[in-house]
Amino acid sequence: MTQETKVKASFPSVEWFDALREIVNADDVYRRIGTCDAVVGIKIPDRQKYFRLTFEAFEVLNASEVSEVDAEGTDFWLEMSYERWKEMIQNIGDNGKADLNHTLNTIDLEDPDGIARSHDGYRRDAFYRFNQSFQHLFDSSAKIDTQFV
Amino acid sequence: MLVTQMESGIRADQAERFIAQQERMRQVSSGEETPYFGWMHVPTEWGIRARRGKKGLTVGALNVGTYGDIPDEWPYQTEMPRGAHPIPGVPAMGYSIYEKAELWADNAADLYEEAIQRRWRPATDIPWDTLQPLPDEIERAMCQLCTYFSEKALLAGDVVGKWLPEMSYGYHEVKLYLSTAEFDAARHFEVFRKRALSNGGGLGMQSPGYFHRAIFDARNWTETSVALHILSNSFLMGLYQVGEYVAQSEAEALIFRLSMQDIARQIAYGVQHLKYFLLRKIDRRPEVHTYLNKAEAIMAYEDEQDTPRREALIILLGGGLSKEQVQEGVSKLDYFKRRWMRDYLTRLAAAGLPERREHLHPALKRYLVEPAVAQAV
Repeated sequence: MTQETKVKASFPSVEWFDALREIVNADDVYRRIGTCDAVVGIKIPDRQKYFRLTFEAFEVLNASEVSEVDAEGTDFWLEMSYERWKEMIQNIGDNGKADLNHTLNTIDLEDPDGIARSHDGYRRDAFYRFNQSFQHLFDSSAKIDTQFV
Repeated sequence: MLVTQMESGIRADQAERFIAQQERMRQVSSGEETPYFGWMHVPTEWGIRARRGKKGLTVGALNVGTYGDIPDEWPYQTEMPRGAHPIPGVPAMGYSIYEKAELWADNAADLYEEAIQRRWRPATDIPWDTLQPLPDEIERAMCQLCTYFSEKALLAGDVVGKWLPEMSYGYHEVKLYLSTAEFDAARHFEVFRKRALSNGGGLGMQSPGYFHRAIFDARNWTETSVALHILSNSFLMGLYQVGEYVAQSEAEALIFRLSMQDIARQIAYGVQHLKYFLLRKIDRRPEVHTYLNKAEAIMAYEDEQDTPRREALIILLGGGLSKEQVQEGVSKLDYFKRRWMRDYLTRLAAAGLPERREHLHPALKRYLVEPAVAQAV
């Protein structure tokens, strides 16, 4: 029996999001969830780290590090403190996927302002329209050997 | 032969056309008549090659050349597809919506493709084996919610089913998308009934139904869409989010996440339709507020009257029936209602109705302050 070799990547970094992107782009389960068209910002304000993920049809097309303004110039952005991101990713790593207390929806509801934020009430709803695709994407981080910096 | 055809339920003129056509076919096949082939010179646009994109050959991609011309007024009263050539004498179908502003949404074709791509099957996509026996009060509360969701889904299907035959064929993107919304409603009825009947529980009490009738009795599609897709579905989206939040198993969590996706598409249609309507019917803006005044008032009343649903939510959010748990459930329900109200108003603002905040029904206005922090169950 062979043991699966995990890709190593540090969070937060473009390399980490690229590793995630490559995993889901080769994943039939992600494809079967259906098409997903959205531009999503990632914000980790206490580390001043901002990213932008582009979802198009059946793949995550691009991941890039951007300015805070560009992270907000998206359909919606996911904003959490570094410790909250770390807790979610560690929980996914420990369980193979988010447990019931660490899904994106649950974390969003616990934050009075929500973690899924947008300047536009219509574009924010992409968080719900494609929720299972986003959940599957982050659940796939269980396949990355994540180093926290 | 004419009598036989009429006895089978078709009208005399239809039967005559059918018989004449049969006779022509017989003459052509027996060599008695020279083929006509005039239909091959139909004056529609020819030589079209719609292009596939990353998502395959989509309905939106078919809108090329004259086939992409979507008129503000649809002049035909028959079932002729947009872009085909009309023939005289075809009976009217009795549609009542011929104006684009009365039903259009720019995202309709994309939402149709999205709904088809992201469809799911409750029978096999949900990990039903993860359901576990639950404390009696939790099972009863979840089953009461599932009863409510099933009822809402049946209503949504009936409402859309009632309006589809009113919409003329010029706007097939909307008709196609709403057909998937109707199927989504059937799926939601199915999945919540399955959840209620698969873990040792059963169905609960029906809801008072005041709001159902308000939606069903709406006299035009825009009123129906605003009440159903934006107001009612914003509330339903909030309930599905809470359902995922209090889920006791992978099965429940996935049911609610997938249902959220379906409802979000309906909200997206409603928001884009209202936006289109308001931009083209500037004088009817006060009328939209009247629709919402009526719908919000009935919804607020129903919310007060539906004790089983409210108490089921309190039990699920508090985690049980003890005094402390009930207090926690009440507090969390209040917190979530503030979020729902915020999301409802931001959707209306995105549709071009930001002033609704000032017109909100008094019973809903009390939820307009910022929510406090909630903790996971």
